[in-house]
Amino acid sequence: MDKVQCVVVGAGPAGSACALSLARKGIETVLLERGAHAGEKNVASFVLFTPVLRQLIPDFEAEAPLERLVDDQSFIYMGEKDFFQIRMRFQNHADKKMAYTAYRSKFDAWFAEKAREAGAELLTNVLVTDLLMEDGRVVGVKVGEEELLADVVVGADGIHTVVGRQAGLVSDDIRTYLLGVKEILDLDPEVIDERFQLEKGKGVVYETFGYPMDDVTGASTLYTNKDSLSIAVFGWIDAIKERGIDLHDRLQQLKEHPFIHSLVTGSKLREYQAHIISNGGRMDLSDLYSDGVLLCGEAGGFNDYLYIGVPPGMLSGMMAANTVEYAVKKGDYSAETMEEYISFLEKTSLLRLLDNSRRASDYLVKGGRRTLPAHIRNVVEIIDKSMEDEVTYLNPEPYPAGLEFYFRIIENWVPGLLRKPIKVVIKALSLLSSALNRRKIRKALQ
Amino acid sequence: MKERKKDIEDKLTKVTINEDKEAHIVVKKELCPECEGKPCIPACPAANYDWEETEDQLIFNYEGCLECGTCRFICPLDAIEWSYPRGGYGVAYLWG
Repeated sequence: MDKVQCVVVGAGPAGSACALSLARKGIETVLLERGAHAGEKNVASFVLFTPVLRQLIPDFEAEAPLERLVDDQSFIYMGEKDFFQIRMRFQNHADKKMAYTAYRSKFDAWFAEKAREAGAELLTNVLVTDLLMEDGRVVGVKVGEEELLADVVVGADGIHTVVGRQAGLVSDDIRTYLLGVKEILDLDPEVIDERFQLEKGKGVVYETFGYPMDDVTGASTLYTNKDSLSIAVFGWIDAIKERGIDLHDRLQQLKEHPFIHSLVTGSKLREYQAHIISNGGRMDLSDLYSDGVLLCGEAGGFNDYLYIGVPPGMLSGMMAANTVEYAVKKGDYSAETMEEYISFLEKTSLLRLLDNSRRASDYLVKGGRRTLPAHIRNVVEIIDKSMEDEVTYLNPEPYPAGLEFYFRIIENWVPGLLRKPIKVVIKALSLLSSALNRRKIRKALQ
Repeated sequence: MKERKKDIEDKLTKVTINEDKEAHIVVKKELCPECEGKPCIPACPAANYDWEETEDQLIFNYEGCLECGTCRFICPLDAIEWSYPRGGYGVAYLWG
């Protein structure tokens, strides 16, 4: 039976960052990937924030498969037919080349290759089916009938982590998981530049809130690649379970929204994708390690509250590598030694980030999730009404937008049974005020 | 529902899938008639779950699976045994 110092399961950003760091430290490492090449199982709304990668590979831009440099970002608040946009362009971000769009299938393959070049052994088409255990300690992995022994197993095998589950470290809280459904839409680069007002080589990311996801997460996104657009919607898994939410349908609705439609029209579907993500902080810190095993990347819940997963994943992989090095020097792979992982993580912002993520998801689970996305739609609709009122100039008493807004807030907070009457009040208020408006306008013009 | 299935089937023609002969997801279909919500049917982004009214049973195909794992988490009756396809098989995203 073969034995190595470290087996890293999963050649995504976390696993490859870990294997690359281990190889550089001269630790014998095998990196296992279930796809035919790294990246082909992976999907993300992939806006790569670069500072962590730059630490590992300072000149990555020379060879990494990147799409567009992002220095232009918008928050877009959506009503059913309306929107307002907050557009941001930060010169500092552009100067420091802080973010690129990219494809995971291309990027992960390149990054895993960097780990291989550094000396890690990369094996593809390999699905780890079980952990090898001995007296409650992890001592290797099983790949079908074959066994591979290791001093340490690093689980970097994503949200459905086999390593984490078999080691008893992961229990699922589906309230903090999201399904994302995404499409890649072919569009001519020059059309993209024109529609999004872009200089050559530059790209945008739109984070869209509200319609058509008001009752689920409120979250969707649209961003530019070189010759395609990526568009995705996100839904909480428990909402999907309890209410049978259909994200494919929501994505269609998003594409038919007048503003989004104007951006995607004429494009052709290149690929259709689906993937689950967590919003981070789903683990107790003591669930990140055990005897002979460490978890990093999505397997360890290293995803921030904005659902950015790749840089935290990479950094957690690097810290896992430091921990393995520490254990190798000590010649001990027990949980007590592996606990050093937490000390390494403490030297970064990752623990604070996980804590924030946990608090954000607690807030959403406990009530914010019902009110927050709906608020966005309310704001869009109220602004619409007030604006109309404002520019009509003929009405001495403006529409009581503030009053309606409070009713709408109350509507979101009261139990389900009481919501209906409040809805009726809002509707009545709205009808009454438009009838009064018409009367006042007639009077003013007499 | 028919329209949804057709739309998604069209979309799946754009996805590269190296189909395994072994099913990586096994559904205990005998439990499904009792299930009230059947959330797997609208939830699966690949429309792999469907209901056959005349025979009163679930139709399930693992072949078009996008490996998101939603069904693993949402089945109210724990009727779904879920694992990844064997190494090298299943979905291969070119533009993930």
